[in-house]
Amino acid sequence: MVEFLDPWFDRSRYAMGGGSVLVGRWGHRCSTSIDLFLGEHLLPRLHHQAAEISQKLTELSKSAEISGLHIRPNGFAFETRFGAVSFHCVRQISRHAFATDTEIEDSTGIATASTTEILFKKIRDRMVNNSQYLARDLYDVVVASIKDPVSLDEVVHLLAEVERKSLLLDVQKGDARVRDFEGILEPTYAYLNVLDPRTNLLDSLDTFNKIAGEVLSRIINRVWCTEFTHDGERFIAYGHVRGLRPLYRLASHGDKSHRRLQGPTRFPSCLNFWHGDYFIVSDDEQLTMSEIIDRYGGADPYL
Amino acid sequence: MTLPESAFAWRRRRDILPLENFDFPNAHIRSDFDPDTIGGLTSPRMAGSSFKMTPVEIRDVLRSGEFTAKQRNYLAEVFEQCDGLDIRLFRHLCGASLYELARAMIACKVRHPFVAEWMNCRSPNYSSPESEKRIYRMTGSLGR
Repeated sequence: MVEFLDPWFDRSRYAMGGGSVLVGRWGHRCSTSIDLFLGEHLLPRLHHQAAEISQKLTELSKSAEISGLHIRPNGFAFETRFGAVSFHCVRQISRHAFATDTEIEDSTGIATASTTEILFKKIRDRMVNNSQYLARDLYDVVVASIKDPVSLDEVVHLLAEVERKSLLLDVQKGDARVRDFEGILEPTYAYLNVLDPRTNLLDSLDTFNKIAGEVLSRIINRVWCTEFTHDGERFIAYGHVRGLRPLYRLASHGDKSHRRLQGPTRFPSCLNFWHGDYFIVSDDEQLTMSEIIDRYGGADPYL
Repeated sequence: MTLPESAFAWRRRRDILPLENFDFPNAHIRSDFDPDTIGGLTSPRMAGSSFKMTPVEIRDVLRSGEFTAKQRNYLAEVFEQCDGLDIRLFRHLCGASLYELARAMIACKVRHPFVAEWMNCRSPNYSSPESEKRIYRMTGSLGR
């Protein structure tokens, strides 16, 4: 593929992205496709060369070296005996679109796209712009919240306000759901349970969908809270997440900051927690939700 | 010019009309079958799925109308990823009739706005909501 593209595009001009790169980084599922992305500013050049490229691809298709050739205005895709390949011209959203300093494929010299770039395309181009909630995309986002929350955080800041509202609308309507649970369980997504042994995300489809909704909701804005008793005093732990940048506090009823934040719109009646959430108990101690429950008691909604 | 009621109106998921709405003579004419195009519309997009279907299997399943759970989920994800151009390509090169395609979409519980609206527009008894006509004409050539 790379040699095929050499006459028209320098290898430094495009990068490998898509789920396959995430799989290479996290090893969380299988992917059998190679997705190459060209910067949007090179679209005129792609169009200029389109006739020649199409002709070459058609010749390859006739010689049965490739099949399923699908040419689109912004690129093309086809299948080889090794797997599917796509080459598309898309807008690069982040300054660090290519993780060139860290990952370059040895034999070809092709850089890989950054996790932020890949996640952003999944969230904006599919979920926000097309209202498409595919099992693998939701799964990637859920795993990203565990494996690389910083990149997910960057995605949040790249989304426009109207895009966040669109996402929120879909989550509230219940559209952001996985329907293919069997495909997630085996064999493609078999690694999910080893990511966080405390969280068996795949115990049921409902649990996974609930967590996926939680993660997507965190992208917008969300407040969690729970109540427990310690030394006879009633405490409320709450996590305020804005753009995935956690600002957690643990406060008693007498705390001023707690009173300031408390209110019917701030604290939803349902209690939802994410096991990875850290609650700051004091200046030098951070506890996860599970540790708080272990130490002080309380209900774990996932148990 | 009538503007949509809401900027998010197009995101409203919708059901495909009951199958009786697609039971007219022209809807029973089977289209051509081009395995290359159907393969191009399905394989690269379903590379992350453990379950795979070949174009011939897709055609046969559409024609028979009998789906396993895995086939239903596979086809549902394929349909979800189609835009206005893709769904037209699929319809005209899948080797099945419009009636059979509608039957498959209903069985797969496809509710994606683009695809469901496109399919509903195939019914002679249906008209898109006034507020959404302009959106679909502009974004996906989803009109008749």
